[in-house]
Amino acid sequence: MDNVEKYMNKYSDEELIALVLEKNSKALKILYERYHIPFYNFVLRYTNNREVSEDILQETFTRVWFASHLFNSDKGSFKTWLFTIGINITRNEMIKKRYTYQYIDFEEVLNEDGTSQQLDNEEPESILEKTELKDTISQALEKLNPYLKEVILLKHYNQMKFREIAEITNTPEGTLKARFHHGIAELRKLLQRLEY
Amino acid sequence: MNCLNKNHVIDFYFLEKSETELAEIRNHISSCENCQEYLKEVKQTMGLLTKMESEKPSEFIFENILKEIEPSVVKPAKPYNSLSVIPILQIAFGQIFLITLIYLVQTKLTISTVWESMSNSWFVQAFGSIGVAFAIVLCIGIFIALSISPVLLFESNKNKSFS
Repeated sequence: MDNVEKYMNKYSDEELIALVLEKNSKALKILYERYHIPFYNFVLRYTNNREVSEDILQETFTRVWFASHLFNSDKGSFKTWLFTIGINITRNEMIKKRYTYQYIDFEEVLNEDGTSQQLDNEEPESILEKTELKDTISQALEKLNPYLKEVILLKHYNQMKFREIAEITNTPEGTLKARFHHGIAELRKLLQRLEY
Repeated sequence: MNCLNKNHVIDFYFLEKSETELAEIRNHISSCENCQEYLKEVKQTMGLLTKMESEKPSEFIFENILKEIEPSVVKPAKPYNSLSVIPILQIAFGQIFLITLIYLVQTKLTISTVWESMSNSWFVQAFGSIGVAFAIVLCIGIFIALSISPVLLFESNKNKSFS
């Protein structure tokens, strides 16, 4: 990160998107650094497919660049706008194709600094247990209705308020809360069925 | 005791109510087994999701984004370009000005004596004294403008956003 980027890192999302509007790629990079991990993880759990999730991540930020003139801070935060774009792309992708379940290899899970998780210090049984648990949760999420999954994932990975999710999905808060109850109940059932 | 709407339990779990409302919900939950059970279910299920570690996408994603947006990225104009026409003209005008000055100093001529000698010349007679005076003022003006133009260009670029 050069000095300009370090300085710009102090800017708010709204200031950065204003610079993106002036076609400033460094501002887009800082926004990407801020949001790409929670956004990617949300999409990854939604699609359960790494390749597709990376494509969606790329397309979402490319759209942010070309559609920055459509952002209106009076209507909501940048994060809300980003997820609105992302969810629309994800929904379209899911309609276009039915992705088959792809096992996400536990060995490939990396920490923030790029090093692998502390697998070396763990007992093989413990690793296997964790892998199985992750696998089971992935399968349960995979089987969950996308609308129910959406609310749970946005709540979990992005700690969004129901008000924000309502803006993103253009759905009343009451409906979202009902979906959340339904989602939790379904997820418990699925996990029981998968013998967790 | 009448059970709370499940929405209130969720609001309580995610702290999406005012302090007063949360305290009321807390009071109810502490004495309601159904709500306690539901809160436990939510906690357990959401807790399970934390077992799914956060992952990082490929480090090349942003490079791919840059490739897609590259044609529209605004690059800052260079404050000084050695091959641009402005410095060349500037040097030319500067040399003319210097040679004129040296000539004036060496021949101990003043502007008034130069003007007097020029008034008999063919070009003053052809274009008139006002025309020649106008041309001289114009040349000096261009020289000054060219001299300060790189500075103005640099200042305006400093205020532009970095791309």
